[in-house]
Amino acid sequence: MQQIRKLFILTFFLTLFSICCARQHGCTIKISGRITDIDTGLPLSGVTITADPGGFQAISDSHGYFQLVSLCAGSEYRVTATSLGFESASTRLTLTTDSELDIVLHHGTIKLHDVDVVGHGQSVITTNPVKTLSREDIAEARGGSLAEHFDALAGVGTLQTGTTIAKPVINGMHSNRILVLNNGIRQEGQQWGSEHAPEIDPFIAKDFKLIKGAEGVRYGADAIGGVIMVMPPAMPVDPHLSGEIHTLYNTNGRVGAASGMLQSAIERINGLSWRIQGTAKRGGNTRAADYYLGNTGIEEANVSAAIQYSRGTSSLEAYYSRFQTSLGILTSAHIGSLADIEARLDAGRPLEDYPFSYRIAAPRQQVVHDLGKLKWHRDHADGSWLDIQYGIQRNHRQEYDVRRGDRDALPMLDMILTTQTLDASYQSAAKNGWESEFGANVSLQVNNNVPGTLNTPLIPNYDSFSSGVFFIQRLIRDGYELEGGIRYDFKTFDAAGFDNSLEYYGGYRQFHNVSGTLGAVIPMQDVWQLRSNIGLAWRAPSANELYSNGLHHGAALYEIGNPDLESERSLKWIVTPSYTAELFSLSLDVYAQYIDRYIYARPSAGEFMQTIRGTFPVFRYEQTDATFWGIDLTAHYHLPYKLSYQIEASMIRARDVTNDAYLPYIPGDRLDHFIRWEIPVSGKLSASYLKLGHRVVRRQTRYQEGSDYVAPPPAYQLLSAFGGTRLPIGDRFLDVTVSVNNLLNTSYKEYMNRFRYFSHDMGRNIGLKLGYIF
Amino acid sequence: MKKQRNSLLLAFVAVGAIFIASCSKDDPQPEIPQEETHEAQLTFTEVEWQDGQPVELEHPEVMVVTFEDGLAAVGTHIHLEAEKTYKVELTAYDFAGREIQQEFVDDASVHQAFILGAPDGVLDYTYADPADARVGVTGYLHVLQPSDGFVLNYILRHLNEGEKARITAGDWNNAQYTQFGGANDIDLKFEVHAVEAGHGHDH
Repeated sequence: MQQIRKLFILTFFLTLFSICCARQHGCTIKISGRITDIDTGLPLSGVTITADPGGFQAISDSHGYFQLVSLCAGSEYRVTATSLGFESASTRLTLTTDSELDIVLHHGTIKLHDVDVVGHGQSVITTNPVKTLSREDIAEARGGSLAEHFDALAGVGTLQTGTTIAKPVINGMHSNRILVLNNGIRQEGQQWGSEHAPEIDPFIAKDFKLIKGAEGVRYGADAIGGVIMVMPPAMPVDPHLSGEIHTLYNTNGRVGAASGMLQSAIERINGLSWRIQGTAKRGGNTRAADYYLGNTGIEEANVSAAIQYSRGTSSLEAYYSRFQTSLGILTSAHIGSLADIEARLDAGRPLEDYPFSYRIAAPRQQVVHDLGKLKWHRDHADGSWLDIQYGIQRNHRQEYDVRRGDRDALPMLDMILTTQTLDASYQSAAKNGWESEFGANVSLQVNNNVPGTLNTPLIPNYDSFSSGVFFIQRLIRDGYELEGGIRYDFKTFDAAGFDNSLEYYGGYRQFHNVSGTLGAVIPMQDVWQLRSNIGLAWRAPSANELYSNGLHHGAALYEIGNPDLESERSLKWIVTPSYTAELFSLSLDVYAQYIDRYIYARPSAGEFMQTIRGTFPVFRYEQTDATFWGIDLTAHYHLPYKLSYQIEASMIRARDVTNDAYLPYIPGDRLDHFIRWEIPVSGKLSASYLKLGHRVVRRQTRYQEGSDYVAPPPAYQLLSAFGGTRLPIGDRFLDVTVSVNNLLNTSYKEYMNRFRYFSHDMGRNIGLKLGYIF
Repeated sequence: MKKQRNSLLLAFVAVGAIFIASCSKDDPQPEIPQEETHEAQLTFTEVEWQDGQPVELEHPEVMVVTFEDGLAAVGTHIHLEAEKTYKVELTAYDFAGREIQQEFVDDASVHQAFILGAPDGVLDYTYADPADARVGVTGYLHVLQPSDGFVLNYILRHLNEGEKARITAGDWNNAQYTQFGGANDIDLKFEVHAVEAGHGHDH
């Protein structure tokens, strides 16, 4: 522990030193401009603008505007704008003062390969901090779950159920407290369950973004902790067939995956384009440092298809995706009593020894998630635009447990959740720096339990109707940007079910709330920027919090919902000072959040449930007032000899202020730091690099005695290594990435893994990832 | 203006579609929970034990302990006489009152009973399940000597795959039974007095 504390202190001083060094360079010039389409004259969003030398990058926003900062006076730069479907445009500039540069892009008649998003440009308009995964981050995480893709970012972690299920955690919030946008549609699975991972194939996306603030105004209820956005690339305009093929193999679990994408515009019908994509993945039992984790295999088969027709200033897009998975739940987690948990805690590892196997047996999950989307987009010549989007999702979740007789093939839980959403939003063109965005959302959700499980459903059948309207006003001046917004939401929830005594329960509830946002972005001394946002957001209690009443297998506790729960309300203030210079960049997210009527399951003092299987402690859903505050640090420093050093660190403090107690499942302090070497390879190879990583996670000492079976596990440290290069094959490229996670095969337990009672986390994993882009 | 009208028209069509395509929840159907064992009985029948084999008595003493939700009636206890042998049979009932103990025997590879709580040297046990299943649904309990009263704990465990192979006949009273991964299907507790031979249930 002493060593970890020293490491934090060292990191702090290193960061301070780096700031001092970087400030001496004084590169303060900026280039501002706008990207437009030669044919329509309309602004182009998502265009990557780079300035070399120095690798400066920006991405044009939805109005086509971009800004490159921290350029050096007197230096000559080559500024290049690239976007899929357009010919790249380049120009050379020698800068002496701040400059404006408007770039007009021509539709491409040549094949463009891929658009590499390698920076952290803010293409989502908000005063909250937005983090974007780089192409390198995506390549290294490829083959992992959606949550594992974001795990590299400061302030983001995972809530795991063994090695097969991972959910993203943003500043201590997860499940119903964060919002996942899948290609612009609110992902609606049974996300209330900590063992229910987002049903999204990461291979679909090229663009992974994270908003850390409370974005309740723009995106509606549930965006208390943040928003995750997973976006496929823009549809092609090039009539030549193009695509990508990705394959990978991970040694741990012997995971193999292949994903392919084909796309093209149709030459005969101007404006019509299509894309198809599919992924297959299979893995067997994963391995901790010293033993196999029984029944932790996974199978996935995912497909998606999109078609878009653009004419003039309008476009219509239809999209469909299916995510289908079958995954095993660690056999050793199949327990039934406190005595079992105690025995496993004493052993510190599974009592059973299992060999490697691809077989998936009960307990297991099988999920099919279908998503359909129809979107109409219209650009107006003045820069304003209108979006109308309809989405329909069908989530079929089946959970199988070890059952009596030959009923293992019969699901214990069989639910179909159907969600339809309609979103309309209009954004005005900027006039004298003022721009407005307003919109409305309607959502209908129906959950049905499929009869025949021979088991009492965990949650009732319900239908829910939600609607909301919002208005956001923005003022953009040279020296600052201000944003204010307000939203009103109304939600109904009508539930009906029978409990295990065959008693009818349920009822009709209404919730309504006002959300708000107020933020500012203030550039200071060109290299500094201050970003601040206060967001008021809310969420209604979920079905399990209201009505669950049953034994939670795997946790040996009996959970009882509370039908009288009120909605949670959250106020989150996040301040992000950031510094960007030629050699050094730094971003610090400092946040404080107060949640009124925070919902969580607390052990009910002295209450036990007696069943023929044994006696179990009772946990009841209650509400309290909670505070969260924390700091996320991201820093990047370019060293000589093409070396660079990067830090991602986060700490969070959370308290139940009503009961003066700590909250459960709050991540421990974490530091990731990397040293990266850009290998100066001559010849045909390009983009070659090596990276060594070190992760330090402190023990979570802010834990309430008696709220868990055991105190949080000890601190741990992990080493990792990554490397990659790009090989030319004809006029195409093959990207090769090698990753080694848990390099030293360290045996450890992570507090945020709900199966830490039963087993250790994953041991060494070596991955080889190939990507062919044509 | 015309363009705006078109936009609004499309919006209305979309709104209409959402309502047409939507539907409300299904009426819930009562799902009778059939997974749990609802009631259980342990029947103790006195037998004669000769040369390692049971011999049925003409008028045996029979004691039945009934459990609902795992609990016996308050004050329930039985007296077992030292130097006697009792045939112990589990009878388990499902939601409809049907006997289900045969399921455990049929699925012997993942079921195992443990009889716990007796002081050392007081009890011994011989399996008597059909087809040498060695589950412990039926067996013979030998009372070796008297002792103070104790709480007898009968646990029928649903084992994880492969765990049965690690269990030997001598594990019938293994207090460390949780080392054999799985979950309890049945967990019954009641008081037993192991009394001197000839004292029977005389208080």
